Amino acid sequence: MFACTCSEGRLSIAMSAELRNIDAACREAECFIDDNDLASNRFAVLLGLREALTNAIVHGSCNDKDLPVRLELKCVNTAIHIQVEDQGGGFDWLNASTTPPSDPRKIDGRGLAIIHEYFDEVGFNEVGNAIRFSKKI
Amino acid sequence: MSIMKRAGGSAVVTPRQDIVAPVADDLRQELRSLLQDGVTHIDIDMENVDLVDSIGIGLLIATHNSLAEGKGALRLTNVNQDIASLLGKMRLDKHFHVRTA
Repeated sequence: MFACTCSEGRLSIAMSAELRNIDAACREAECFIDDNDLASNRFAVLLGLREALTNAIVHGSCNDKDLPVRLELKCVNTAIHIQVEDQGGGFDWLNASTTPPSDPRKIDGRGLAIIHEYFDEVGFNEVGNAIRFSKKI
Repeated sequence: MSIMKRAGGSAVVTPRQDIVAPVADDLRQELRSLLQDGVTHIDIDMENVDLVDSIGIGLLIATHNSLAEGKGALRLTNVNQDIASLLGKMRLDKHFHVRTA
């Protein structure tokens, strides 16, 4: 399932929790980037989206196609705002590391650090199944 | 499928797309087959890669770890500035051999 709605300054997507839908979401996001003159932020926006969507699909929805993931991009004044929400039980975001692992040989644990590195503000809802991040443009 | 060139114990792998979660398993299989075949030095030519996510980074690290165990090495070539900067922010720019485009 992949449903996309685009209006001025806003892109909304609801999709089944499948990794292949991340590519489709990023293709829509690229159009949004072009339509809203965000080219200089293309890498950061696409990377942040991929990280948030991968976490939502793999950890939030546990790759369960019946648990949809929702994504919203908004361009408001001088900032881009992104929200990704899954239907999982959330996680302990208060105690999650926001920096890369100190051991470079560690193969995981960098998704959240990447979002914090590229975006100015990062937050979660109380449960931890929705992430919001924004960046001045 | 990546473009693969072999020369003895070395190989050059040129992915045809970004190294990201939806396609990481395919590249993982390709790299694993090289390791199982006794390749000790792998160059990944990133000329077609605009973006690497954390899953892709993990795959590169895992490959590097395996090669290093056998006294081999992983080298990334034709890395664009965005990816080079990302590796720096993740403190991996000194961990991998990285040659920018």
